[in-house]
Amino acid sequence: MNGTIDVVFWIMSAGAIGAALLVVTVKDVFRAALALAGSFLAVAGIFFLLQAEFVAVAQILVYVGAISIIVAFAILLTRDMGQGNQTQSSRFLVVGGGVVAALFVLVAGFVAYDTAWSDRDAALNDNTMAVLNGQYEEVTDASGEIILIASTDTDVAMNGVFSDSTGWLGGLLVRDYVLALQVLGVLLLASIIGSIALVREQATK
Amino acid sequence: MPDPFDSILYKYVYCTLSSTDDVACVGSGLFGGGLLPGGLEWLAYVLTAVTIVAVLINAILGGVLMMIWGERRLLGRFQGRTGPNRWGPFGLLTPVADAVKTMFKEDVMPTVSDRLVFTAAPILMLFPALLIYAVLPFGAGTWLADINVALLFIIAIGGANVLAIVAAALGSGNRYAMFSAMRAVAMLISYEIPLVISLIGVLMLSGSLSLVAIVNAQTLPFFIVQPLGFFVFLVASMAELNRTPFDVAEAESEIVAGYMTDYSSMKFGLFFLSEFAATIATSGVITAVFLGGWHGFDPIPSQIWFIGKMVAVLAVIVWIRASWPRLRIDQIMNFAWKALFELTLINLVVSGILLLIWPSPSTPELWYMAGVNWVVFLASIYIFGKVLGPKHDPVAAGNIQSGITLSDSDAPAIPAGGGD
Repeated sequence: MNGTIDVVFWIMSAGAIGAALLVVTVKDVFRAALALAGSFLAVAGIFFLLQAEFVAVAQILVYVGAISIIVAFAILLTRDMGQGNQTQSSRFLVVGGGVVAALFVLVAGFVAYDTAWSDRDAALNDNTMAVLNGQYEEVTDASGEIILIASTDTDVAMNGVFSDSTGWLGGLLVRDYVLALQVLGVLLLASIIGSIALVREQATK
Repeated sequence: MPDPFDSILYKYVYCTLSSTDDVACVGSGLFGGGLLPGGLEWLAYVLTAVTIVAVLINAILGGVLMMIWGERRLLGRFQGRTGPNRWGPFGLLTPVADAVKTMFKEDVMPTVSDRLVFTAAPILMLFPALLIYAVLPFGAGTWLADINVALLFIIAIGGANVLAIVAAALGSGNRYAMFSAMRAVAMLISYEIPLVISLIGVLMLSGSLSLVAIVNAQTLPFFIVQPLGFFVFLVASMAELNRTPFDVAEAESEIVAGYMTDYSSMKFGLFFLSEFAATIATSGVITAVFLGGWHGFDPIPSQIWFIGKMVAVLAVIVWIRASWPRLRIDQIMNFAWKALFELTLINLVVSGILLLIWPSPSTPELWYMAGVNWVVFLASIYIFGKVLGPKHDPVAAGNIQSGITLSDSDAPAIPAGGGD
């Protein structure tokens, strides 16, 4: 059903871009925050479409469920009762937007140029079923290209690369990259302690 | 990706619509089919989706009406009175009258409000409540989507209704609504943590986030194996739902109706609807995760089992509402951070150790686990009750006048003895 996927992709993309435009053009900050949540949700929809379910749900959990709510809470707390919401000024919209757009095009262009699309497409078309059945696995060879080799690791073979991305990600996080995860946790703890130290009331003398 | 046709809902509707020679339906001689000519498979897909969504949403609306009736009848019984019994047999048509009355009320909009946000808030509130139903397995082979991360999806979506509460508060620009939103955000963010961690024990046992896989893994219902997880999840869900022991966000004795103060007519109706829809969805999640889902014995169909268990959970939720008074906000926060959070961590460690001893437990091994977990459950509840009990509540002990101080001097005073 490639046609359906295209239709859904265009709807989601239009939603994400439209909502993102609203975020920077709407005057009222709370409306902008709501539009931001909508944009995040549309991006999560695109992740679902790409069958990256875990990333999609993490996107909803972290961005819609946490970041948007923190933003809304900040607006609620800083709001002036008499005058309504703070308004945002967009004086440097064109310059700022231009710089960000240029950076984004640079990154996206680099990724698009650097990825070996044709090899990957061919490999996918020929061997998707083989990967799904766990007979092959994807590896990156010396020149940075993704190739398929016969699977040796039974764990990977059992999971398959595409069928259970959540389990695969979990395995990577708590086996291969467990040290990075721990360091990340310590970093977060340090930043929390730091922010508490910054905002706590000074002891009266 | 699981095949959507694993669900008999899709298979039945799609194959009824699609042409008789559709490859996807060949071999399923059960279905008559052939409503659409060949070559229109895409239309069959679209119509299948529309039909199922329309049926489901109407079923949810019917369920909400039934639950309003059931809750009022049960509350009546708990309070030693009859409850609504005038219109229809056993008063069954009372919620219909309520709905009609709500729809025909005047739709008042306060002048100070941000009209767009004010209108969007009830819609935003309903949206997460309905989305949860997309991943609930109502019976063997009866679900809309069996995604790999269903449980995480439910938690992620369930947290999004805070945004709607904040939108309602900011849209109406009412002080009571502001206080309600602040309370709701503080409470929901706090209870999200025990809610998520209480599920990890179940995830370790089932090895999957998919609700269908979790139900299939329950040879023994997980509320027997994971009593602590079940208890914390039930309590944290009640807080997430803003139901009575935790309904400080709409505490009528303190802040009128909280974020709903300025709403009337069907906008208020939508808040009401989404609250009940979310309650039913949560009882469905509890059924699927802890009560063995659709498992039961023949000849009663699995769907009836699921709905029966759901109704039982709903009755317990109403029972809790009838039994406990409303807590103060500081008691609620203390309970989340000092009791529930630690209980979930104890459950996590004990479950991890038990799974190291029995890596892939058979049914008798699940019973051993259950035994150890119940001892831990009762002991830890007893100890936490001793440590955090009423003797240690600063307000009840008379050490301070009120548990919290609000910075705004216009704040409505919070009664020291708590609401009732």
